[in-house]
Amino acid sequence: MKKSDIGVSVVMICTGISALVKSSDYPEQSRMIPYIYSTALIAFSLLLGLKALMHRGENLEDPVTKDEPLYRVLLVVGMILGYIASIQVIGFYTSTALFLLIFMGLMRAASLPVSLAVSAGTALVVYFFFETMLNIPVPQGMFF
Amino acid sequence: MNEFLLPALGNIFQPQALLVLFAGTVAGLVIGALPGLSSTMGVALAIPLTFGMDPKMGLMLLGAVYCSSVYGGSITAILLRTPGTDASIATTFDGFPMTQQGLAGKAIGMSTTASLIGGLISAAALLLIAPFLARMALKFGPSEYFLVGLFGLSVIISVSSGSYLKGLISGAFGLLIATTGMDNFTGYPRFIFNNDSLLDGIPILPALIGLFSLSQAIKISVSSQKTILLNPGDLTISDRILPEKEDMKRTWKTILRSAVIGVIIGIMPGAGTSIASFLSYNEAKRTSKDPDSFGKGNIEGVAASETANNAVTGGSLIPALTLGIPGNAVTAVFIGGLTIQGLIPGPNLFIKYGEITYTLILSLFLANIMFWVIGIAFTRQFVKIVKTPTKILAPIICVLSVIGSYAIRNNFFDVWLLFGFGILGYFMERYNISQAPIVLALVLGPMVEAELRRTLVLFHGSLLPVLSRPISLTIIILIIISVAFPLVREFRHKRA
Repeated sequence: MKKSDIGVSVVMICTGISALVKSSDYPEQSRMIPYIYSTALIAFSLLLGLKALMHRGENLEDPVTKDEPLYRVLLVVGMILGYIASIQVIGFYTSTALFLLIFMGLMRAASLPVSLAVSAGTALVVYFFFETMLNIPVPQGMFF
Repeated sequence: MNEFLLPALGNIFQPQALLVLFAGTVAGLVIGALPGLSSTMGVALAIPLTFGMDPKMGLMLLGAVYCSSVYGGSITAILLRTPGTDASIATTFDGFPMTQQGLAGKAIGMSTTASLIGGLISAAALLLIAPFLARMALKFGPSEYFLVGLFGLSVIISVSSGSYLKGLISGAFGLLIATTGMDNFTGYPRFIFNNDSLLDGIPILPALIGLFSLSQAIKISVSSQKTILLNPGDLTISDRILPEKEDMKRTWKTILRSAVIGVIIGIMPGAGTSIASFLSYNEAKRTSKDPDSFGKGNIEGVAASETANNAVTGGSLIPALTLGIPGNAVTAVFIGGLTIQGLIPGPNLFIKYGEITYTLILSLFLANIMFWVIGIAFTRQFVKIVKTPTKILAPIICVLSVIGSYAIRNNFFDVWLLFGFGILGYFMERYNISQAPIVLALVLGPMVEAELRRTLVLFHGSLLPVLSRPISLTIIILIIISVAFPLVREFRHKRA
């Protein structure tokens, strides 16, 4: 039995049921397609769950690799979340430089001079290409 | 036709024209390779530059940006599993495994050559049979478009081999989230949770960048891999970047088939480069002697996807130039570029403004050759990216993903969408669920729903009359083959 399959099945069944409930408020024409897709999602997820349960005697290995421990995933996701959240506060360039420095520092990716060069270089390339050449304004934040 | 060809040929070889083509090709390559910057954005950004130009030069610039940006997406798709545009999603399936095996140079060499052939064949179709093909495309009604969408969705079965059920769950989930936004028929907002940014639906590019790029950045950050290569000593940058005779022998049928698929899909309004590359990938896998090797680094997979997406370029210009019908967003912008120059798409374009039109068409041949030369010349430099330590590469991919997602609509909500899809993509991969069906569903879902509902209105609530239409019937047969073939193959495998 794959525990992950049971987890996927439960999450998707809940998603399908929520979508069914939500779309029941819509006009008849608008809810037809979401109904079909939600029902399909629930049916496929049920089948996956049943299949996993039917093989519970077998000790099937989960594909989740030990090479990717969950605490590291949470650390990386946390850094990206912090980066995105900080963009609107301190601006794109400051948060980008800080994110790159902190990320490479925590991951012991490179020495400080290399990390500084990569941070500054990336921010410069983005500035030159997106803001100067393509005229795409980025969030400036409180410092600019 | 002939009276315009010679002057047009002379136009494209003028030094100024060559310079414009070179600049457009380089700009398109960079725009295509950067996640979030699409061909549409590239062509749109180039339009202001054409204001003061001679119409011929302006249109050549737009054509060069269009062709090379579609190819440019394959470079990052192969090297970093970060498709620059949605056209290159299918290229990641085999291109990135080839990179991991140290064969990035070979993969880029094949993608560049396949893109060239696809581009040349589509330009030839535009030159020789444009009016005929445009008339054929007009025979497609809502039911045919609905079925084409279903045909595209049938690829889910092919890309989910190993776990069809998970692929179907992924596809159904993608279709469900594709219904987000205002219902175009009733104007009723669905699943928007009081967020106006979702009224237009889930934007495809942030979702795509999240599912493929950000998830990949998370993956390489947390794994103990030092570089993208599975074995860092494996990197092979052979002297010969051009595909070897053996590879061409192996892939020529796939390339020709994919080019035809690309041109046909290109002509159909609403269909696009990603659908063409998925369908071609599916066909390549279905007809291959070794279908199990697809997804593990089969060069045919790269050839199929890249030929098809570049074959769409000329194909999509066929209805745009002959009938004024934009097949996709890029050609809609392209038509804008034409009208700015005072040119109205339609038969007159080939008669009254024949010299300008044929200059554009012939320049597409040259633009394709130009990106091929540049691509082959710089492959060795591109490939060096994979030597960069993953812990340096990962945060840079994050930054490019964030700015790419933001740049599409200048809407910060898209960055949050990117983040959500990035996490979803990572956990999908961790639990062995293919992300491709979600993207396919996001691309095709709105088209399938709209055309299904139009068909139902047209046939008074019944789908049975669809069976009496020859084109529909042919597509239904293709769908049945596409779904049944992988299932039968797997059944045989299990029995053996």
